[in-house]
Amino acid sequence: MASPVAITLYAVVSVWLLLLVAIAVDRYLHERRARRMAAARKSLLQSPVSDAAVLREIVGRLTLVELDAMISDGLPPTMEFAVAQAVTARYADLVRVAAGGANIWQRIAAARVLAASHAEKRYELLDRMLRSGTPALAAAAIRILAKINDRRSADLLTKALRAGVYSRSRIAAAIDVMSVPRADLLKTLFDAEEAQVRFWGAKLAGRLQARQWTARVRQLMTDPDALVRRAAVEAFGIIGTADDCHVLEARLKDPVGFVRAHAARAYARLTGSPDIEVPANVG
Amino acid sequence: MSVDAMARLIASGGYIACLVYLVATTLVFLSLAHMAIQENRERSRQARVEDFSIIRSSPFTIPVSVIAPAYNEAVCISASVRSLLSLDYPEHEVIVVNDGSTDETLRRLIDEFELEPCLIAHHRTLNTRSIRQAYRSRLDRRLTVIDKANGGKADALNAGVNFARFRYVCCVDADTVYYEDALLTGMRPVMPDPSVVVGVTSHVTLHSRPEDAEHDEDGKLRVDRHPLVTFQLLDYVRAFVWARAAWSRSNYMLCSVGAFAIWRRDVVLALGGFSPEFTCEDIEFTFRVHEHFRAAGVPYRVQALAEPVGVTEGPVSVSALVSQRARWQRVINETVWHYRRMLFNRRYGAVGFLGMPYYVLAEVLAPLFQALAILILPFAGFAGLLRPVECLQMLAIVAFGCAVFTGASVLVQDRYMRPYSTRDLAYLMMLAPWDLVLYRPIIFWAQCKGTVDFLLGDRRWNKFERNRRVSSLGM
Repeated sequence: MASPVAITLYAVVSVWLLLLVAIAVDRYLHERRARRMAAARKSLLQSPVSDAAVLREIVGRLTLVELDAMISDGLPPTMEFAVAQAVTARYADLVRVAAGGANIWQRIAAARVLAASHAEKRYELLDRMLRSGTPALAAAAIRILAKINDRRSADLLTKALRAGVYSRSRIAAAIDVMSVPRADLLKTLFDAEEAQVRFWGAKLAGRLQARQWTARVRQLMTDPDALVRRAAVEAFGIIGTADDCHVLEARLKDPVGFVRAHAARAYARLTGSPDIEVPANVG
Repeated sequence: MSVDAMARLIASGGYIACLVYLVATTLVFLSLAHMAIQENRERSRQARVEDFSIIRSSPFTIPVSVIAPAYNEAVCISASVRSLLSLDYPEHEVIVVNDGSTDETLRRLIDEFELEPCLIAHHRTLNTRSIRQAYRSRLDRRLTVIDKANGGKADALNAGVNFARFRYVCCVDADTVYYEDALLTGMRPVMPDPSVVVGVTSHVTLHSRPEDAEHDEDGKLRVDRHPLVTFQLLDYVRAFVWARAAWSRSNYMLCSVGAFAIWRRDVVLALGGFSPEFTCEDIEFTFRVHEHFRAAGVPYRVQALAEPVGVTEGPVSVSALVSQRARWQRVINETVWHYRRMLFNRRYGAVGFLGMPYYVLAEVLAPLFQALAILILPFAGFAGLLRPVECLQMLAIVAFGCAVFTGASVLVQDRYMRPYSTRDLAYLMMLAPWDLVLYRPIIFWAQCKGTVDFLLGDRRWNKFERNRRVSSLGM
């Protein structure tokens, strides 16, 4: 009979061999899946967009996560819509999963497919994801809304920024990257009680070159919060005119160093003088 | 008591102590499995959800000051700085701090990047050795070079922090070549919650010559086939994919690596900067951050990522490896000893009850138990406790036990990151069981040396000689 030491050795070596098999099998399955996805993508790109039966047949072979991966990796827009439409048979299931399935990654995948298919419920589902308090769901919703890129999605993002449901810089970046007219939606940000919201209002006003808000931005230059003043001064350097330079002069005497630094840059920009180099943290 | 009985008693005691240690460390590693897998899976899924195209181009992405201290790095400084300047990130500056190099480091930087002396407004919040001159590149205004009197890596980092303009600083090594997406990867956990995430570190992979490291057609790094480098690479994979990922999940990750550590600048300043009192600054500063926030009861996170963000130089000679690892052992001992008050202290939560005990058990005490095992095994055979064949079987158990953990780490890494080609994967797995006989003895020797140096109060840096110089001598 084998000694305990020998039995332990056999056990450890067996685990080691099992691991080798697991690595090999996992790698094989991964490569097989990658080949299957590549073949499906190739078939899709070669199929006529109008042939719904063919699309349904190709898409029917993919799981929800694979379909989502294909959409998020990028398909031509018309094909993406056609592919998403091809799964409308699963619509009820997708809505149920996106509305609050146990697995957040399945939920994201379902929401992405629904958004690509222009489903009516998409805004409601994405808004719910934004406000879920789960960072991964909120991040995914922001990405999808930025991609939808219409007035309603811009409005949802602006409201999310105001409510602070996720990192405001990420939501602001998504609003910034959109192309739909959205400058008018900033109004609610300027009046917010929270200084961070006013800060992002001023920042976005500058980025979107929202000249209709010049007067509001000018008011924010005297905001009690230094960061808001900084953002307003920065924005004013973009949307103000040379005639408004006197407004900036007061900010050159601001008690906070970084506001002065940004005021100097904005002043230089408005008056057309060469940019002056001022460290951001002076003060 | 007869001599024979005495020998049996000593051998039995030592044998049981070693077995208990082996079982305890194995259980600790096993207990990390679930959390390591969860963490790696979640990070990989989050990476798919994040919109890198927005982060990459948005002016609202948090800007970062990259600080690269350099001491006698003439061999690879140009490649390293080029890689830092070509990082794919919306806004970052690169501050190279030449810490009184005695070689051509500064000259190469001046020539390669057309540096010109300039005056740069900065705070002297952290005390450092005197600054000789600041330079800015004519070719790329994002590059600043600070030339200062030699004061060690911590002092150089502090000088860089004084010159940094942005809210986050990323401390890097000048002997490492970074991937283009290194900062995007590193800042990913910060962006959702900058008020809480105060530090991020990430996995850096190894090559004997990072600047010449080759990638295959799929962009996967070809594993350096030098066995010593491969064993170190496996060591890093175990550390980042298994241990640090699991520690991060419960927020008791106690070692941000010097090769890539992002910190919120206000935290660095509030804690008085990096300490030159320790042999290395990285572990000590991570301990200090945990101590500070846990004592104050303020929510915070220090995160370790398993994704490789660059390639660093791994020593290819035994002496260079011993020199490097002895220094690491010394600094672990220094830090654990300095922060011993946190051990089993309720005030420090998981750091006191999980992080610190891990360091004591698996790092500080490791050389002691390894030495005991080496002495006891033949002694146990001599005393008749184990037959010679059982001694060999015990060694094989430990060898394959280590290989199991290595294999599990590689499996997790491959499943969520796919960083290797199939051939490299097979090579790594075949080499893993040889770790105990070909690599561990070197590390054991280095750990013993580091422990003795610590006990003697040695604080030297012992920088290892660069590989290319070694090869140029025909070694």
